[in-house]
Amino acid sequence: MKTLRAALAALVVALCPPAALAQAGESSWIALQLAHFPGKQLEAAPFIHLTAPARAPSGEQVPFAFSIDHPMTASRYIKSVTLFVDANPEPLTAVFHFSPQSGKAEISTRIRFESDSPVHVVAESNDGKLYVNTTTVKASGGCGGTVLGDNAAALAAAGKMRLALDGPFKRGALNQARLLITHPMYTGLQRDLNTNGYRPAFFIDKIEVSYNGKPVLTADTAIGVSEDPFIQFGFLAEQPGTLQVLIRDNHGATFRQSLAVGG
Amino acid sequence: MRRRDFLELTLAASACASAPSAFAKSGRAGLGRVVVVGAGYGGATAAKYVRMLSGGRIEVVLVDQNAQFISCPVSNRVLGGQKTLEQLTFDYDGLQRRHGVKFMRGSVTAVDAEKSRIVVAGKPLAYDRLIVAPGIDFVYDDFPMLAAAQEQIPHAWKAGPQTRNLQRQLLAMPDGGVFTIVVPPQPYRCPPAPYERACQVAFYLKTHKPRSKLIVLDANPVITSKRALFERAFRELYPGLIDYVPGSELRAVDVATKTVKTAFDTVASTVLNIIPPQRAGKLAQDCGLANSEGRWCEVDFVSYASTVLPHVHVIGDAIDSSLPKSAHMANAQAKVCARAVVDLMLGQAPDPAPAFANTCYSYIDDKQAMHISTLYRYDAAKKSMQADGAGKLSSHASAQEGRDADAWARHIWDDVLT
Repeated sequence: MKTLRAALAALVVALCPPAALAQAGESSWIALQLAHFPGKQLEAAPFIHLTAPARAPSGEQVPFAFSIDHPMTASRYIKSVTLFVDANPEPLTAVFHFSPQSGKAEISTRIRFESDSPVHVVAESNDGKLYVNTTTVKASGGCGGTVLGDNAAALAAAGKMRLALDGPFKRGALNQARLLITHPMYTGLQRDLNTNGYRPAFFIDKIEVSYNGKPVLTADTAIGVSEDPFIQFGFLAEQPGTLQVLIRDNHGATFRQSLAVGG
Repeated sequence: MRRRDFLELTLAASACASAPSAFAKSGRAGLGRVVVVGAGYGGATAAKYVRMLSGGRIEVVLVDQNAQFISCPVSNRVLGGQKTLEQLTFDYDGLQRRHGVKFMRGSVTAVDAEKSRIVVAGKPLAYDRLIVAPGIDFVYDDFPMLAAAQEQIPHAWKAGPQTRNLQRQLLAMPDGGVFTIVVPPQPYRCPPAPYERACQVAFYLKTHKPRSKLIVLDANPVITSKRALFERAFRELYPGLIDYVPGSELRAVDVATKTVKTAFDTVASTVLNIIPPQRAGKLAQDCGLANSEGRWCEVDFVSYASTVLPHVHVIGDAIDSSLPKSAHMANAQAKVCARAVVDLMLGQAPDPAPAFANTCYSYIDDKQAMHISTLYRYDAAKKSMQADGAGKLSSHASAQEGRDADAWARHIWDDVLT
């Protein structure tokens, strides 16, 4: 069945008249679906709310947020959200894994755009259904371009974190936390103006957040996440406790931060 | 350039001879009337260049509520103590005397694009083409109390009394005080200016009140322009004096104690300088020109024609574009717009491939400056101005560039006003 659908999808691509594929964005999204969700149906989902500027002054740091109106109970919840920037050299920007403990599947962050591009946000519920919503952002130069800053200083500071609650602690309710990671998030595509060579890719590839030992959020992140990653996320807090964050970079180094809340 | 002007005038003359009816409708001498609203870098330049490029045959009325031009560029140096506001203040006599621009003081209360007229100080003023250069307005939606507290918490983001206010507060601050600059998220007027201001305030503090602290709470995740150069200036010229905190979106303000809360910090200040988020100037909002996210004005980059109102053009900080909102850009856009307006009034097509450059200097102390320059070309497929890769960022700040920055200012003032 899966193969049949994939074949059908491929056939659709093949049969599409050139005019329908005139927009490069459309064809790359079809290719991304075939690569990441072979044989699956994606249902258009207006309940995935997206917040992004129509135009951003720089592609390096584009604010982007999603918030999904969907139950987050033990029996029915959004288990993951995948974020694609279709036209980027590496479209797969991040995968966020949620649990009922997350309270709500919503994230506010900053991502890179190499050129004007559609963004697709695909949510998967725990019963395996896939939902999608999309928006378009005009921005450029976010992945390639040049870097000029002091490399040694950037590497030395990489991994430092600030963690804070957004607003007063709400017992038994959804709380919002903000995480700011100091990290250059080198894409591997940026030319170093000091040396004229390319700085090797160096980025955070994993973020794990737990509250009182229960997982709240796990994110697999890639080069499409902006320098000094910023992530705002929700979590349920039945009682005061400790929010713990563990991050890992693509060299395997790990860093930790924690925050006592409601005490 | 002279030769080109001559050719254009010859063309203008022949166009008139062959199609007199095209201009007869205006009933005025020459080719008609252009009204320019807003006499800053963009508007004043457009007024002058429409007069020049039309050989004086288009009547130009320049309208502004202020009688004088006060330069925002260089105004950070008032804080550093290197300039006075008087040195940055000019009148519009040159435009009137040398170019025949009619200057009208008054505020515009309405734009009636259907009837091609505006209302200035209660009186109608007809135009054939309208150029609007409204600059920026502040967005106080999230913190309405700041709108009423501009005396205690100045923005100093429009040069004039606000600049004096902030300087007065800096001079009155005791040694050991805390001066805080709050930077709004992009896009805002003049991307490097908050960091230049930080350098100028830090220079003053280092010289006169060395036990003080300067805190920069930046809503942006990183320094938005000339980043490596500013980081170096902060580190090398003002070690221990400047505390730069990126990712500091404003969450709460207490006016009485000059205390702000961001996502991560609570900061109490002696002097608090909050630069609010921005949008196109009030006139653009009021008459519906700000059609991009209710904030900025969409234009066609060949002529700067509004995409909403016919025969209305918008230039400068108010437009929706990826171009930096700088004085140099407003001046360059004004020239492209003026030329297109003259072409259109002659019944000709405007230049289909405009190109221009932006240059922006920043002073890091009393003498040294650095700059970034970028060349932009019109991309017909994207219908926007795109950086073409040619451009330059200083490798380091220098006293030579400080002198170059002075020359840049003198030249652009000459170009805009004389």
